[in-house]
Amino acid sequence: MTSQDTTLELINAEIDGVLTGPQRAELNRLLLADPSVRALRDGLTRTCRTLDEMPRAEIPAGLHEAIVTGWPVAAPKSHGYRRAAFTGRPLLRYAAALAAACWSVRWPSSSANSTQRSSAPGSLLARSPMPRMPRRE
Amino acid sequence: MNDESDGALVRRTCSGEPRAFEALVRRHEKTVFNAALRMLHDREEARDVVQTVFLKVYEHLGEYDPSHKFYSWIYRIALNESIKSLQRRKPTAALDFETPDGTPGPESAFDQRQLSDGMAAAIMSLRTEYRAVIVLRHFMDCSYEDMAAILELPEKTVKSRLFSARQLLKTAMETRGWASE
Repeated sequence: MTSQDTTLELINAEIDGVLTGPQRAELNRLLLADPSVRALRDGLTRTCRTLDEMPRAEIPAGLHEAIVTGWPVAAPKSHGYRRAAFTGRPLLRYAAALAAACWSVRWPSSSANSTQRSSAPGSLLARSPMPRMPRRE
Repeated sequence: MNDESDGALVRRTCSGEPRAFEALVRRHEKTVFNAALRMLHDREEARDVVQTVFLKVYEHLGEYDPSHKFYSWIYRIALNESIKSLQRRKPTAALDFETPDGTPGPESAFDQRQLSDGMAAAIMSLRTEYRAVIVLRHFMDCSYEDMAAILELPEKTVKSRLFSARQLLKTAMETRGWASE
């Protein structure tokens, strides 16, 4: 390690508050002996003070709400102690069962509207059967 | 709930308590947002990054290793997402270093704002790896040990990178007419 590296390490240790007693004595010796070390230390200290004093921005309005409403309903997978959020919510479970039942009842008669829905890209509905064209008399 | 450790909140989230995750979000969102803002210098991009970070954290919460600090894990994801966002930028995209509004305040406040704006521009002039250590140390209050864990680098490398980054910032500020005291 060169003497410049040592000087830099001591100055940065002082800035970060991790300077030991012997290091403090060594830094003081260098500061007294060399004006360029003093200039470097002053410049770096001021740089770091400016960084630390830069204002912290508040999070944008609505961001917290966007985050907390944005995650999936199911609890994240974990190592054994997970209880799925979905099964822990009876209301959701019953609502899903009801929706599935309604869907299965409605499905056979829904082909009349399938032209419009089948144009939805990437959806399951895109695979619905094409409507039959009425025969010409 | 505010006094609970991150680890306890993670366990409760994994047990199906969404409110516990909301408490984690509330605890870390401001730091993550400010880190992303300093990495990107763009509020909208920073906002997107924060949303992505917490979604990823939630989705991968089960993979979190409790032997490590939770915030180190979040901060690593935040840095990675910020870097990805930087990489997605078009090469010609110019960064706007103007102040949000042009109305000068009292003299001292104006000076302080000029100083902050100058420093923000200087931070953006750094290479990404130097910017990352400045953000971790000065905007996320990470120790050398934390930074080494987050960046998965030896502590010695992290310190060397931080010291170089500070010197580069000092030089950049002096180039911008920042007189020595």
